[in-house]
Amino acid sequence: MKRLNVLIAGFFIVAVLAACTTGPREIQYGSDSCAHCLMTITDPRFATQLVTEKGKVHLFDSVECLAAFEENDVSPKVQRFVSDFERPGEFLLLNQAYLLRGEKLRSPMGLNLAAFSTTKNPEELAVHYGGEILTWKKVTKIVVNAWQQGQHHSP
Amino acid sequence: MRHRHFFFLFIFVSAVFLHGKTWVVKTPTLAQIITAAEPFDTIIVDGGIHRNTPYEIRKPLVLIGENGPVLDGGGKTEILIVHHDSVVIRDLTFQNAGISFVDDNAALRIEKASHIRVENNRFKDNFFAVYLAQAAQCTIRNNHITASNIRETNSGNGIHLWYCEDILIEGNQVSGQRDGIYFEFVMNGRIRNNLSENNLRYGLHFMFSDTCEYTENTFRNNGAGVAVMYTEAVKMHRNLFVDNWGSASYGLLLKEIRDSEITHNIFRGNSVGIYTESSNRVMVSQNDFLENGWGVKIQSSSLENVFTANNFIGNSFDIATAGRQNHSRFDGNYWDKYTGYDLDRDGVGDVAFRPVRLFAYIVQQNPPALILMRSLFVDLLDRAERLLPVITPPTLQDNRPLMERVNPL
Repeated sequence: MKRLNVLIAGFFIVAVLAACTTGPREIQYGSDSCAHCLMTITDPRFATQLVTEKGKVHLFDSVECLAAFEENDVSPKVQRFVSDFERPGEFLLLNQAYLLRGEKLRSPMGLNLAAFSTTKNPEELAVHYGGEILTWKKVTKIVVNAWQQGQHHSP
Repeated sequence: MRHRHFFFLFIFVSAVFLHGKTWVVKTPTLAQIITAAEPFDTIIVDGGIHRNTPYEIRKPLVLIGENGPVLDGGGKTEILIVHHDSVVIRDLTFQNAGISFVDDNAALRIEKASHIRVENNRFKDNFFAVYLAQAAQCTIRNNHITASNIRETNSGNGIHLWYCEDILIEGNQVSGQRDGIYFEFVMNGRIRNNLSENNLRYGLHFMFSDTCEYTENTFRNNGAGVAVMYTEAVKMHRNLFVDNWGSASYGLLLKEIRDSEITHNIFRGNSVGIYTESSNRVMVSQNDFLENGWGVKIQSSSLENVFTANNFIGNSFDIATAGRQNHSRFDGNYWDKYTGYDLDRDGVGDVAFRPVRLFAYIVQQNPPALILMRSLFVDLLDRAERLLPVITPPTLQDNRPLMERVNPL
């Protein structure tokens, strides 16, 4: 009887672990739409994803929309994925990525944000794309400031 | 006599060895002519295929094509880049600007320049076709832009504007690109009388572009219709939004639009005529909503919008909302589903009309329920809800429904 309990417990542990290791979902570029801005996601250099505790996957067209969505959404999050700008279609865990804001990164939502693999040299990235490496906190702040005040600069 | 022979021989030999040399001078290339030309010169490109792309213009010039000249990027490079003010580009064909995953390669790029006119050109199978970055006072008129890409990821936009001011876009035809016309951070743009159809994503797409005007354009059969976002003071008049059909396709998608006007437009045969989220103080009047799946889908995050003098005819659902809240006003529209009466014959129905069907609400929550659309039970539910609204927003009603359709235009 005891053995059976252990077996059942073991089964549940395996099942729970299996459920936890949800990777990034494959995005159907051109038909999936962004959970925040509703735009059709077309650019694999910028797409991002958010997995909630319950296993629901939200897709976004950009780092900007992921940050803005998280600000307005309170449900617990498990994983965040960002596209590797230099390998379109490949996803990185947010904490294994450099976030860069640079003039040459024309992201779909206009705040010039993109992500890069941490195997790269951050100084070189910053020089090459003409920008700076930011923390996630800073990124969220930039997005919130820009969008809550209504983003309206002129050239 | 002998001397005479020698004389002729001498002449003959001279003729063979001393005749003038022929120099084959190749026509200078287009790039050389552009370099050699003085400011304000006119260059006429007479036919031919010109492949030494990219060409760059760094002085005021007029560049005109005659007899169908083609500038060909060979699928690798950009084609023509304008870096200076006061340039005219007319009657040229641009083709095969290269696809790039890092750069936004364009057939014609206008970079930090003003007073540029781009007229009567053809653009075939380019990544981006016309790309304006930090440009001002430009006219893009009567160009014909086509591309035959199948995937969005290797397709750029037809007419792309980024940080521009005072731009007129008129009489162009765009098809087969990712977004037909794209605006980001544009001030005071006017988009008039263009046809944007069969583009992979949006016929027209703009963000953060205040005080722009869109009139008399046709947006037909684009992958996801037209999307306008994060913008104030937009004027959209007399446009045609037709046949934008698909699960995530909208005639017009409004997201965070404020203080804007949408009048005299026709929305016909779209999955959703207008979808609006977080948009405030938008005046929607004298439009025709004809034969759409949903006439208007309005999220409760939208405040103080006014819908007046519109025609709702032949839509499966006229209005849908997400919650019980409604912060917009519907007043004096024509609804073909209105079954009330007009005893005083003033043209206005004597009982209010509730355009949100209970069934529309159910389908929003649970799309497969659509299969019950024409059933008797659903009709009964709808009628009961109209009499005693329990689930649909009680304030969403038209107190002055018109008995006859408004004639817009």
